[in-house]
Amino acid sequence: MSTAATADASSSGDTTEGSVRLLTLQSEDGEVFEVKETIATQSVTIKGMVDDDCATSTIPVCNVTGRTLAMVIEWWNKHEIGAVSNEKELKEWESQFDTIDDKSDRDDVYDLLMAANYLNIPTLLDCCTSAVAEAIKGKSTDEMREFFDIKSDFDEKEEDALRKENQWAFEN
Amino acid sequence: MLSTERTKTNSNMIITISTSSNHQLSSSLAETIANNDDLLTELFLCMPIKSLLIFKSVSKQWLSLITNPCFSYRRTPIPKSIVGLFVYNHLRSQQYDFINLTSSDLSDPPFQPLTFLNNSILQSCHGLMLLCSDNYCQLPTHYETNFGLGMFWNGSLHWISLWEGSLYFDVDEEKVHDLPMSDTIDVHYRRRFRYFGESRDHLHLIEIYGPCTALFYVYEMERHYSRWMVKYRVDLLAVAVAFPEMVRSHPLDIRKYGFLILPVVREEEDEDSYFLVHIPNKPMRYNFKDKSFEKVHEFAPVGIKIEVESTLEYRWSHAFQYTESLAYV
Repeated sequence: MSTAATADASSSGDTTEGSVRLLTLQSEDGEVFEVKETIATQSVTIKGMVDDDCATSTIPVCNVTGRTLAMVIEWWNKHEIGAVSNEKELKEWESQFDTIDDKSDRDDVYDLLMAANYLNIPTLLDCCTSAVAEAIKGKSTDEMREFFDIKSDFDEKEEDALRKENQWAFEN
Repeated sequence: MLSTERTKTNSNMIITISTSSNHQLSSSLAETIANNDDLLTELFLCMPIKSLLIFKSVSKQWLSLITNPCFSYRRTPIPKSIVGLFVYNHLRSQQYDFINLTSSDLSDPPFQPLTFLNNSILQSCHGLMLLCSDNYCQLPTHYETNFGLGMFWNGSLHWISLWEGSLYFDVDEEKVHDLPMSDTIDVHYRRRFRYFGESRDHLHLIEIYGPCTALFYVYEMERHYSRWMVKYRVDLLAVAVAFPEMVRSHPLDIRKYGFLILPVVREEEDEDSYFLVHIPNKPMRYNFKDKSFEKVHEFAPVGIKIEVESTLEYRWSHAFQYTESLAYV
């Protein structure tokens, strides 16, 4: 079990700190995080729950591990209005997601991509899709199948026809 | 094991992530993404068109996502940005050259050569090209109008004429209407169109009269066909100072500057709009807003001294805008 150092992770959720309301998020593997509502509502999914008054107890974030959720919260903190003083600094921080050459980077970005999709966080989704798109844009059909572990369901004739139809794209 | 620490500072949480934890197999994650239509669509939206055409042959699921009309529309909304120009080189190669407007890599046409073009490009519009083969059908010529170069704009096809009889054909109504032309030109000059074309849903016209051809207006047609209004004021005198090869030396030549106009390109923000001016051996990008200019390309020298405009390689009527599109015909 992970060692999430949550100070007072009670199941009641909905605590307040000063005038800022805190939300309690629980990852798939049981880690509990307290996050300011103003930050967590960067997720359209969570914002919807808050607006519908469904965020009063612990919010289960299924399909997202504690490790990934921590990265998501880091993203939220960086993207909170006023958290980072200038655009350039933010871009520099974001650039760590740009290179996904080695396997562990790739795993992080994949994890974040899934989480961004599940929680509906447009800025994070854009950043991760751009990183993956950058990594795959020059790849051939076979390389793509390998990259995403896909088995072709075309027969040879169909695949030839598709290649012929878009012949210029396969040249040079 | 994961080691995620959390400390509190000024009510903001700082999360420190150690990267020493075990990873899941990336292959299974990748597979999950590859089977998620929403995520794949988001990914595909970031991809170049060329990659998408290749990825159509990865699997049936991918083919169906990429060829979905809703996806095509999201990937290339209208109006699209112009990527470059196919220009017919009537002086040298008798072929179409490509001028890339988006990349500094000038020798990078989208496809080369245009071997499928046995004859010529008649028109390009919103990412589609009209090609002419040996057997083409002649349009009826009831009007004294050159039907050679129709411009599609505002749901109608437009033809301009040096004499009376500029007109447009409303495609929905199937009716022909007169296209009003300005009548402010000096009677001493024969009408001379220097540019006529559409960009980002605007119809433009350039006519230049008088000896100082470096100063002129770009006109735009009002949506309800009331008049041609002045859209931009162009001053090419600074270009002529920087590139004196466009100045003509012959004392009898009434037109002092040798240049041709290639497309007027409207951008999403009007202040980014520009046109291409073709001077000897190079096209220049001229920005309307701040009147700045820069060289886009350098052609190999023609080898003869440029004295008349006919020795410039490219004509506006033979320059066709190229935009990337997933349009599936």
